[in-house]
Amino acid sequence: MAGGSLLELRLARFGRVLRALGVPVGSGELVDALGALRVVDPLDRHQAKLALSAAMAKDQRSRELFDLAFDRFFTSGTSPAAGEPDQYTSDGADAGPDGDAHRQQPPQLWGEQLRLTPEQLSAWEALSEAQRERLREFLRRAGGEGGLDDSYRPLVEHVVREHLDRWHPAPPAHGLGGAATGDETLDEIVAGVIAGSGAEFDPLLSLDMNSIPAGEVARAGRVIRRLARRLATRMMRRYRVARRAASLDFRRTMRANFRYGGVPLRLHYRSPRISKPRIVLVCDVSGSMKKHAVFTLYFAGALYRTVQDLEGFVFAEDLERITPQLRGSTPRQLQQLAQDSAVWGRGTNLGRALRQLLSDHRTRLTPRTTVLILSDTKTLAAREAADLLREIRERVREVLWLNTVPEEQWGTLAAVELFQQHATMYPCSSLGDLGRVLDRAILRHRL
Amino acid sequence: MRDCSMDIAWLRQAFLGDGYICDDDILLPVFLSLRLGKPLLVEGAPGVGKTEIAKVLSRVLGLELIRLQCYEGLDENKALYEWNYQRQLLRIQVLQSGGAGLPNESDLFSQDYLLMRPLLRAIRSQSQSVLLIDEVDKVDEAFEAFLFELLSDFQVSIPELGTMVAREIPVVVLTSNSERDLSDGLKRRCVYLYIGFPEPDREARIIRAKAPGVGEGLAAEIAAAMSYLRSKLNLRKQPSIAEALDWARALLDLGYESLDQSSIAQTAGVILKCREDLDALRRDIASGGVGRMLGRE
Repeated sequence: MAGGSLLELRLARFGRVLRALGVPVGSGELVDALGALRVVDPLDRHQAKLALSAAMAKDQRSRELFDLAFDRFFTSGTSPAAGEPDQYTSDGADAGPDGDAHRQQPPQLWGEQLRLTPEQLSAWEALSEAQRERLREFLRRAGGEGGLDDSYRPLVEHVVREHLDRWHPAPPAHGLGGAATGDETLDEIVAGVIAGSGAEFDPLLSLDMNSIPAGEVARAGRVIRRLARRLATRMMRRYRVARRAASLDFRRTMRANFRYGGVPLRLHYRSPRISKPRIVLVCDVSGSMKKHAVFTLYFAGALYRTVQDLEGFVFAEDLERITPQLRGSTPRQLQQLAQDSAVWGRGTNLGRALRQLLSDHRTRLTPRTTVLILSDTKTLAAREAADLLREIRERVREVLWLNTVPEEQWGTLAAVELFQQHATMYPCSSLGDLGRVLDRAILRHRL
Repeated sequence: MRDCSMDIAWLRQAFLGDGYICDDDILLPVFLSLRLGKPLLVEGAPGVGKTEIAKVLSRVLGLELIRLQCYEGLDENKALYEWNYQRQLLRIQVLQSGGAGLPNESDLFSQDYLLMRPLLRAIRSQSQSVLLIDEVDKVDEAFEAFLFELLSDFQVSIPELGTMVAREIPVVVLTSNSERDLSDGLKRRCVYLYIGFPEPDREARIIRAKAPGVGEGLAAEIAAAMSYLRSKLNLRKQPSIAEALDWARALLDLGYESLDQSSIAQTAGVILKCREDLDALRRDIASGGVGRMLGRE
């Protein structure tokens, strides 16, 4: 970019910000963006923004990030994140009940102590002195002579918090990463966009399914339906063309051409076979799993509208077939179902349920079937269950296990390793996970 | 037609004159695609006027519209070209039975036996055309790859005839219902436009433009009701602008001059197309939701 005009350089830098946010912007997009700016009135901010977004952000997700990044990049000041809950403590004294005299004071910015959550504060304390000094130096430079003015405060604060969160990782609010650009100013913008984007995404997606409040159940249903619809259209799609050159169906061709005296005037081709997915869903509904199960079943119900070949089972101690109830049920009805059912809310015995599946529903387990198991792996007689799982695995195409326990804790559960030998396991505790996991599973396994 | 004198004000006026009511957020990407000579990729829910953009463009620019409707399993034979096999066969038969022997191979693979499909027609067209590739998200990925090759070079090679280069680069509009993500390669070659549901006042203007005879009051009520249905009811399939227009015409035919709960109930089948959605609306009417929104209990 040496020798480029200011506009080109600025645009290239903006491209780097977008790239760091995961928006695919290549040099082609940059050239287009430049061309676009030349044909609109570049002084008209609205037009310039529309022109750049048409050239650089080519799907809805990118568009959301683009809007946030544009506002931050092309405005001199930054606005504080509106509506941010006051989760930060203003000083170290009331950070926790165990506060003592040895506590490290939180770093200062513009003469005031930075507001940090207790977790961030303990991360701050856990840093080495050299690391702490580096952060202090950063804040001094940001707030000192010739540094940034006060309107940057939220941004600088955010960068520090982000840094501390990395040392003491809180569960991410959403799946948005944000890569480093190698340029501090750009990194700050990226961090700012990520912080700002939190409000733009549905917090419901990142909530543990067990903690979705009753008032949000209907909305959760809508989110699930959207996920299911997208998934179903993907599942029904044939990704591979059977063969490039269609093969002739000789029998039909001969028969069709008798009337032309055997001259092969009309050709008939073999049509590629479309394999439809066949899913058996086995859902753990023991006490600890109730809410997860309701949402997963609702998801299955939504999927059922498009994937006709779906069987649903629930189990705690015994297995119960619930396919007929799946169709068209709302989350509320499923909750009712949960209350009425004989098996719901009991202790878990996966082995017993799998044995019943093998004996009573053996015909459902074919090489075309994908078995989805939703469970937290906490079951009686895990070893026996693992053996049965192997037996099922041998009969079907794939066993996918959606584990509601967060991935970090898998190491502490002995059964996880046991079941992982026979099933592909994915963490799945929030609605967002559910969508992501199935998306990925479908792409990988072509359910 | 893609002359440099065309500016956004002209395009705005032309779209308005053709009855396509839109703001700059729609107009500007269209304008950019024309000026940069790049395909326009339009995404949005069904019925928000994606296909209409191509039709309006063909009318205001005075160009022929060539349409390729995509579907699963669409291949090059149906999209690009095909040899007229039956005609070739007949010719062989005629020549053989006439005792003239076999024809030259080059005679059989000449332009006479070429069946041009939409993509080739757009390339071979004597004058510039508008090429509409509708619902591109339905095709296989392999075909999508072929498509973006074509869209970057605008030339096709037919083994028997050689390479055919476009005489005039067509104005290309691709539409997608975002049923799946399109490949980065295809997106890279396009200018992107997303059409969402319009704000109530714009929707009212669209209704007035597209369904003449609908009064200002009724149009505003329909637009408000649509916005309510889309945001407040938990619908499986949200009604689109197309449904709003159908609804306006239906209400007009039935002689309604304003909306109320009974007229909504009677015409619900025009806007909502599945049983559960109809049930949801019925429940909402019973609880007085729509009525309250319209200011009538």
